Formats: sequence, C-alpha cells, structure tokens
Amino acid sequence: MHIDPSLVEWSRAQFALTALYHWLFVPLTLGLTFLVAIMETIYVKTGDEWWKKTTRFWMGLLAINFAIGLATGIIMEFEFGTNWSNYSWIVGDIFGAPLAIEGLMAFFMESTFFAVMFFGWDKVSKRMHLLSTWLVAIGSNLSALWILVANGWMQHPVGIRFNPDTARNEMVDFWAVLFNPNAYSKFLHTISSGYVLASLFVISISAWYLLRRRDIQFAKRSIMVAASFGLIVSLFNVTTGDDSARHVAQDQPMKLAAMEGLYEGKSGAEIVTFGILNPSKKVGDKQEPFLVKVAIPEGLSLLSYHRVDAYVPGIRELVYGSKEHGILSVAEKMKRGKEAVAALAAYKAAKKAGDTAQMAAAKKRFEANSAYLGYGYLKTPLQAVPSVPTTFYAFHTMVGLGTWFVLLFIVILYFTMTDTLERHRKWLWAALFSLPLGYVAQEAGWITAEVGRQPWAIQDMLPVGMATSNIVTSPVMITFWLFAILFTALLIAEVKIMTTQIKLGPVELKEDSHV
Amino acid sequence: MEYTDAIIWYASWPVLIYIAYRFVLLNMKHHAKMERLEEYEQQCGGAVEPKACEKF
Repeated sequence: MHIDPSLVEWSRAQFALTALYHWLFVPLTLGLTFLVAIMETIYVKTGDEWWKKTTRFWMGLLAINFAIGLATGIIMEFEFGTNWSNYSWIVGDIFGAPLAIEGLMAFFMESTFFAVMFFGWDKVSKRMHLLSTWLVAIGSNLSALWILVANGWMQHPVGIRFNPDTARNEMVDFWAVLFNPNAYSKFLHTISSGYVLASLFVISISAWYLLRRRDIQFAKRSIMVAASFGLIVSLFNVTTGDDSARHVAQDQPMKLAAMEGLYEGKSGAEIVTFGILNPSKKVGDKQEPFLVKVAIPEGLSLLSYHRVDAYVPGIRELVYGSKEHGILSVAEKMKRGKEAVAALAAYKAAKKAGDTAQMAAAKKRFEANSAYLGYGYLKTPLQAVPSVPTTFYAFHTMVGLGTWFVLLFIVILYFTMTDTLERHRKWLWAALFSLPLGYVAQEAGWITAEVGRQPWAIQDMLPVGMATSNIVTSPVMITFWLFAILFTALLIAEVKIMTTQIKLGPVELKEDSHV
Repeated sequence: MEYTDAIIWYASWPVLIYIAYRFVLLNMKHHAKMERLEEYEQQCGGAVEPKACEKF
C-alpha cells in the first residue's frame, strides 16, 4: 500500500491541531468541576449563602469552558474515522472499547448532570444539586480515564492478539488494558495537572481582583480554596510524574532518551535540569549533545530505575544496538519486522489458495517475528528516533513550570493564611501571569507524550505513516484550515465571554448587602 | 499480569480528592478566624461603643 507522505503530514497536523485546541479546554474542566464541588459542599455544610454565590460565579466560567471543550472533543473522535481509518481498522476492536465506555458511561453522566448542576439551582433540593455537581466532576474525570486508557494502550499495547485472518488486533484481556501501568500513570498525572491548572485559574482571576482592589473578600476566599487544593494536587502531580517517567523508561526507552537528550547510554546517568541542545549533534557522532547544561549526577538512573548505578540506554544504543546490554538494533528489528510482513502476505496467499500446510508455516514464521511487525514498515533505522529538540524542550518546560507551580501554591497559601497577600503585590502579579504558563505546561506535557513516541501510532506495532486513511490530501488540507479558523474563533469567543464575566465579577455578591 | 499496583494507584484518586477537600476545610476554619479577627480589630480596636463588640 502506498500512502502519500504529504497526506501523513497533513493528517498529523490536523490531529495535532485539534488535540492542541481540545487540550486548552479539557484540563480546566477536569479541575474546576472539583473546585466548584468543594465550594458547593462548603455551602451545603455551612448554609452560608455567600458560598452559594461564589460557587455560582465559578460555575458560570466552567459552563463556558465546558461547552467549547465539547465541540473540539467530538471532532477528534470523527478524525479517527476520516483521517485514521487504517488505524481504526487495525486496532479499532481495542481502541473502540474504552472510547465507547467513555461515551456511554462518563460522557452521558457528566452531560446529564451538568444540566441539573447549571440549570437546577432552584428546581432540585440542595443535596440533589450538590450530588449533581459531584457527579459532573466524577463524570468528566471518568471520561478522561477511558480516553487515557486508550492512549496508554497506544503507548504500551497489552491484552491483545493479532488475528492474521482479518489483519486486525483483538482484545483478549480487558483488565490488562484497564490496569495497564501506562494507563493509570497517564490518567493520574493528566487529571492532577488539570487540577493544578484549575487552581491557577481561580488564583489568577482572584489575584486580578485583588490587584484592582475590588471584590476583596470573594477573591481572598477563592484563593484560599484554590491554593489549598492546588498545593495538595501539585504535590501529587509530582509523584505521578515520577511514576509515569519510570514506565516510560521501561516501555518507551527511546522517548526517555529524547526527553533527556541522552545520546550515549550509561550507568549512573545524570539528569539534565537545564540545558541547551547542540543543534548540529547527530546520532552516533562524537559531538557534545549540549552547548550548556546543568545536571544532577546519577539523577536519571535514580528516577528511572530507583538505583543510582542503573544503566539507561541512549539514542545511539537504541538505534545501533548493544550486545553488552542486550539491546537489538533498529536495523535488526526492521529485518524481523519485514519477515513478519512477508509471512503475513504469504499466509494470505496460502489461505486464498487453500494450502493449509503453507498457512501453518507462514503463521509460525509470522508469530516468531510479530513483536517487530511495526519496524517492518520503517525505511531507515533513524526513523525510529523522535524529534529530540521538541521532546527535550517540551519535557523540560513542563517540569520547570510544574516545579514553579508548587512553589507558587506554597507562597500564595502562606500569604493567604497570614492575611498578608494584598501587601505582596509582586506575588499577585506572579499569580496572574502563571495562568498562561499553566496552559503552556499543559501543552508541553501533551507534546512530550505524543511527539516523544514518534514514529509510532502504536508503540512498536504501527507507525503513523501506516495508520492514515488512504485518501487524497486536499480534503485534509482544506479541513485543516477550516478547523484552524473554527477553533481559533471558538477560543476567541471563550476568552471574550470569560473576560466579560470576570470584569462583571461576582455580581450576586455585590447585591448582597452584608458582604 | 499483576494488577495490585494499578488498583492502589487508581484508588489514590478519590483519596487525593478527599485529602485536598479536608485540607481546604482545615484552612477555611483558620481563614474564617482571621476574618473575624480582622473585623474585630476594625470595629473594636479603637474607641468604640461597647455594644458594637458584643457579637464577638
């Protein structure tokens, strides 16, 4: 099968564009639903109408974000059919299951109760309303669970069997897919990063009120809730990040090497905390990989394998192989992959001819090499290396900003609890400008995960180039630009509506004479 | 395949939400005291009518 390379690039660009925009909306929903649920719980427990009004203000902003996030998410699901039909054919039986559960269980749940939450304030009892708010929070996060189970499976495919008769993968162990280490670590790291973003959102907007010296009590109380929540979840986010990195080390060593710019493998590998990559560095040459770097000795070995002397393979060993460390070269994997591809073709031919003996022989040959099937479609060994600069800088941006957010939550919470926040205006400005940084960190995390696993749509099994639909390029190009315009318009609409709401402020609180 | 790790990690999600919620409540109590103290200082800190401080 020949697929036009420009089709692959345009399909990738379109999916990346959709995911990038979708990911501007989703993490805020994941976290803000819980913050709103906590605020409403305080209202129901204390009976203080002030908290009800505070809850309603943040809920209004959540509703705007939720609606626009929905539009981008639905488009992504359709793209699996329109742009990635080969992918859907080969692994639809596995990938489709979590997506179907997401729709039936989580999405319906969050959408149904969202209506009760948003429109039902005076129509259902206090407790029923509170239950609805919690179910929206749980539902939206369960939605993320099933999507990330699917994504985790793409990073580390488990619980499947390849059926040579249909040339499709079939799920043989649902629990292996659900409990896949890549699935739970991705889920927890992703949702907790969403909680961090939502906490930043509330703190940042509240800081703006404090800087403008308006709605002071509302802003201080909102910051108190968000900074408390943010501190706990950001510490959890660090823990899940560590766990996630360990799974990457085990299942996607090339991605780890790219994340760290590790060209030469070593025992007791250092971790680079800050670095500028040498742009002329090539795999296997003698040039230094960094122009400048600050590194912690043995840090990478310790974090990846929990041993300071652990061996971490570099890009060179992963491409050219290492007998000493039992690493097969990509060239060898490609040879075995091509053997698997040829055996599959022979199986099909024998089946057509009704030759059962040939079928059995071809099947045996295929099974012996099927672990490297995806490598059979690569053209050169260096194709197995993702973009090192993109992965390295995206990863370090995410980690650096994540560390800053922990510090910010500690400082803001301390000033809030000592009632000195208004005096520290520099920190209020820092909090205000940390909101866009939160979005940068979100996108950087997504880029690390997805660019770092290239060239694979499914790790070691299906390269991206084999996953696209066999269609002409022009419709993909046209829809790329249409989506780019549409999503940008949606984003501008969201920002405009939100800023209008924020400028209005918590109107109901102002109408209340005792505040 | 051993699933114990996965089950423990998944279970940490509701635990995280509960801990974060309790932490918010703990800080809210302290924050409410701070607010009352601030209000007290504003109303009773200087020469004021004794009646104004009765609610404290």
